[in-house]
Amino acid sequence: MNLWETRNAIHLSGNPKSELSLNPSRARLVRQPFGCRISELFRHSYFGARISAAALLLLVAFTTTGWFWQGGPPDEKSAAPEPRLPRIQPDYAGLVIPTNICPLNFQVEEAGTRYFVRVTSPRGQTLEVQSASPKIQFPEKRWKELLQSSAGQELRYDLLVKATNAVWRRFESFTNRVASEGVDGYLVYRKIHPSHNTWSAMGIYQRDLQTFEERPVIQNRKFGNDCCHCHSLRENNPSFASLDIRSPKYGNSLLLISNHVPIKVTGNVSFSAWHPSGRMIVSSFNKPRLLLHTVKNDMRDIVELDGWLGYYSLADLQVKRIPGLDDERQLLTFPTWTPDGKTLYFCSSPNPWVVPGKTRNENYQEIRFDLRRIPYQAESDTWGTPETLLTVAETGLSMVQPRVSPDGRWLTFGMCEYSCWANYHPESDLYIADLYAAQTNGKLSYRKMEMNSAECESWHSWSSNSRWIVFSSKRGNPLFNRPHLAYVDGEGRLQKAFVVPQFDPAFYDSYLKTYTIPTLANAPFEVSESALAATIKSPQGRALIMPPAKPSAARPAAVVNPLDPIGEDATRQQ
Amino acid sequence: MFSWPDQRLRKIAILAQLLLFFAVVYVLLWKRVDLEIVYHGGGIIANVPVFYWGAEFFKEWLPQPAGLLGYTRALLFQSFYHSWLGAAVVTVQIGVIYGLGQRFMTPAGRDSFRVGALLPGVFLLGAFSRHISSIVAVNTACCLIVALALAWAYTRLEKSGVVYRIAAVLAASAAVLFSFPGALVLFLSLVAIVELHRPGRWVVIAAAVVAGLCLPLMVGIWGYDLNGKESLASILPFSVTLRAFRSLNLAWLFGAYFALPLVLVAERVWVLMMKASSASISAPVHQAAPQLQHAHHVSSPSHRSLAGPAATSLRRNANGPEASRAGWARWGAESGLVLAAAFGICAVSINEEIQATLRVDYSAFHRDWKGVLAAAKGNPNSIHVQCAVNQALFHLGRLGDDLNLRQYPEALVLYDQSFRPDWNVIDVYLDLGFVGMAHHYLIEAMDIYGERPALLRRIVLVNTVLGNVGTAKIYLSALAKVPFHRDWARRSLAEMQAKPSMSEDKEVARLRSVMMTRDQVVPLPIDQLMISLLEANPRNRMAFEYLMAYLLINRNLNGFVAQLPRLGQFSMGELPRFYQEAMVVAADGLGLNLDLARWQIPSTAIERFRKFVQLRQRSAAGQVDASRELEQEFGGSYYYYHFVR
Repeated sequence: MNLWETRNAIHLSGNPKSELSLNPSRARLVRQPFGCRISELFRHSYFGARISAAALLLLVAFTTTGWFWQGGPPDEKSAAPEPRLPRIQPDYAGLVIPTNICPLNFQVEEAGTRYFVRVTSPRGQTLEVQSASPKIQFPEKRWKELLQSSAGQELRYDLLVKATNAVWRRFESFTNRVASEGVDGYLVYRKIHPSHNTWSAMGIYQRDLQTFEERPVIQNRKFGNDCCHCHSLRENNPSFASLDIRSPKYGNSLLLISNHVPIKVTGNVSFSAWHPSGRMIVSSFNKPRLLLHTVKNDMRDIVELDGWLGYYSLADLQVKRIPGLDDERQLLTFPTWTPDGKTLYFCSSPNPWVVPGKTRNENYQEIRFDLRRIPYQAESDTWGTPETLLTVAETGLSMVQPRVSPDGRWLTFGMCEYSCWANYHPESDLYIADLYAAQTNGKLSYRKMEMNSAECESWHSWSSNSRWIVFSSKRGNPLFNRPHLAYVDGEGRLQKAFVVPQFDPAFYDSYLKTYTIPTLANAPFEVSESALAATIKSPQGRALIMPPAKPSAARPAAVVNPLDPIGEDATRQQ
Repeated sequence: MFSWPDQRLRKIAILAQLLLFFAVVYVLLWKRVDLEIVYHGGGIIANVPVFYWGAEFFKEWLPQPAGLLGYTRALLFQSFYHSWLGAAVVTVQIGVIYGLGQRFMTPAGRDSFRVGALLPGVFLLGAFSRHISSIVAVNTACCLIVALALAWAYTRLEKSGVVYRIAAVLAASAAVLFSFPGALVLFLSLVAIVELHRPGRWVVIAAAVVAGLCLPLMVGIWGYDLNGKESLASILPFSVTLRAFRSLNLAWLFGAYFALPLVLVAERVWVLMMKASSASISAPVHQAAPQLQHAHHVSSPSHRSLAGPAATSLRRNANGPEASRAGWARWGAESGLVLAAAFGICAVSINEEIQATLRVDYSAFHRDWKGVLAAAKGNPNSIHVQCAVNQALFHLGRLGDDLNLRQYPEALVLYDQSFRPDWNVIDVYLDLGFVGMAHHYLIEAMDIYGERPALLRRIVLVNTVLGNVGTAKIYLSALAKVPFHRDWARRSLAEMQAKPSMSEDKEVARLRSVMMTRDQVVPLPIDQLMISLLEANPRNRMAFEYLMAYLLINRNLNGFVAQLPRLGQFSMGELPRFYQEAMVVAADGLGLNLDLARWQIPSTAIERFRKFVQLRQRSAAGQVDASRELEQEFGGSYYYYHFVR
């Protein structure tokens, strides 16, 4: 039967049953168990309601039966004790966690048919989860209530696993301490395949740390699949932010968000640091290039061919060189301000390329960065004398990515064997130094953070209250960065780090993108993705007014890398 | 107009015709188009949809524009893993499109225009035959089905009022825009056609036009944060570009999408013409009407007027044998036409070079070396094909005998990224033991071509070799969610869990034994690269043969002779032909210090070289016969390549 036949039949008779008189072969179509087609039943509200009610009853019955079938909570007294801690992934045991973090869902890596977890606060509040799957996912609302009422106290986790022989095994309890301090509510990062030169999908996203919600700030599919990277926020506040855009189609630009208004500023900028006043930015202007090794585990490496620091006010975008730091014999990068805006920290390396004839393939290991700073008076726009805090000679390593905690006490930075791209160095670790103590002693002493791993740790940032650090870590695998949080106590000791939780605790096990430049934000981006994309695509935009070029010093002999024809623009990388 | 003497026979004949058509389509898609090479992609087809089982993947798609379409396309595309399965899925899609499309025809028009409902399928076959437009063809087929199904559901609202119908059009359009936006234009076109004979049609059609223009903008801008251009572009399942049109990619898709509305319009026009022509034949109508209603189920007043031509056919019915002959003749003609269309569009659409390149890469990936050489004949000049042929010749032990000396020397390892070789050289580097570079290209290729199972598998291997068990497990866990790869991934995960070093895996052990040991910065010239590999493992036969091939192609006989002592590492038996000839040239022709007797060069090779020298001298003296003979007899020899070409 087709629509014409049906229509015509009804049209003729006004009653579907009269079709029988038209064509015997159609009798088959209307002789249904209910005397008409099932769909016809729903045309009558009486039948429709009955069927809906029956379906609802069935659903309730199934659900209830399923609940009973679970067998309820286990009898803990008769459970066989297992004298060890349970294996869980991610490792969420023995942590200090923020009061406002979303549920730390985890996966139990113990064989069993049912899993039971009870989280108990010292006040006796409990949160129980029972599951046939080893994935333990806590209800968000109750988790939040539990954490908020347990600030400064320890939560005890009791975990039982029902073995295949129907006997429950009770593992040793573990605890997590809920810190008195919360963490900034949002985490901003870039996600990209761990590619070298090319990319397809990438984007900068913001994750609500109190829930599992992730929202794109800007995805490159919104502007021709070009590159977005190196975001920075002013004092953890996304209402003042900058994003670097590399776009052959729409032009390279620095996307400035000033008081929630996006502005396109054309120019090639690498790393930017907002002055706390929000009126001025210091940027590094680098020329990173890709190197490929034949043997290293991750064969990627990056060499800086140039690097200098310039500053400009948002009013005129006139880039000025920093007096005392305009020496071409130095490569400069990673500017960062102290919270009072009176000191700029940065990294500086002797520039091997000023020696004629040197090629980057030969000299890449000579680029090792000292840690330096320079005073600044915002009122008079004057710079002081640069000072070297730590040298390569002292540390034996290259110092990168300095950050000062918002309370001004702690200076944190990364160190790796050479170069400033710690992300490609498995030996890269994070370090911390007490600036108050340095002021008293006249000497900056530093130490490795407790939570470093055998793999690369890099790209870190502070929370607004100086109690939390977020950083990228490749622990567990040398390819994918995952964002980790760690608590910093009053003495600058880092507690055990933990990966940012996901709703599905097995999420990271199969996720093929890497997280870079995780940055804590105290509020969400309010600029819409379409507004950012429209600004990037807009032909209008102001341009950075660059200072006159210095007389050209010797540059490294060009080595054309046939493996890397796309300009070897490593700033597009992680 | 004709009719069958027996309606049952008519149905059987039509069924047979359709079965024949769909069988032909199926076989063409399976055997001729060979959909599994599209699934493989071969570094040619980008944006191949990746699919993972699980709610997470589904949830990733849903908030995106055309999310449900993207998810469905990705799911259906997985069937291309096996050509036979992919062909079945596409054939079923084409069948559904026919089945739904045919329902829009009037009873009277169906006899004459029924075959027209096959047109979208024929065009889709053409689009799939283009290989590179296969993914968009899946898109188009999905949108066709959705549009037809929705429009068919809409036809059931015949008795509803105008307001109700307008509301239905708007609601369906909005639903389509949030799920399968590419179906919108077709859906609204069909609505307009269906509405043509209904009261209040112009109001509904106007509403459909407004819906077609405004709703995409509203949904795109407010729902998906798109701009106006992007919003409107999504209402077709393919991007309209002139370039795509010229290359037939778009033409076939355009044809598939709009064939049915055009056929339906033509059918309606035909019905109107028949009405007009039958107006004069009024007398027999009333007599014939009861029988007509029985035969064609025609009852609406608008179709009673078709009784004229139908009555004629009925009269022919009465003639029995004559009608039967006419019916069979028409059946035969229609069948021939649709089959010819299917074969024709397939033949016209297939690009033999692209198909050969895809097949070469597919065979190389599956290490079917004879298959590589067979498929390579379809596109011998492609540098990617040459690269795969070199690899195949090595694995068949024929590289020193059958090497194409006239190839671009970099083709050995595609050492020039201007060819975008990311995909194609991965296996060559893996075979050579240049694991780091294979890893580099794998990651790059994954970003260009997507998270393809073929690439993921190799990344697992490379990371296992490098001892990056954690990374290998991440890729394996991802693969465990990919259809057709789940079992392998789970098995490998279990093996890795049991023995993380995987040292008992033969391929892992082999690669570890040939990996480079001295760190250098890439790029290295090809000969240095091979020498570095040989430094790491002097018994790396592939590195040696590639080194020698590179030196031969570059006519670097000094380098060739210098590397000859490495031959002692390999048990070659008789030296390959080109090695013998190159040695003779080096010793006799260039006077290099080389003891031919030590290398047991057969005397025939030396004699042939002497003959070559004589002929060459005569040729140089201007003897045309000598030149011809030289080319005929020595054209494929190293002598000729070294001295003449």
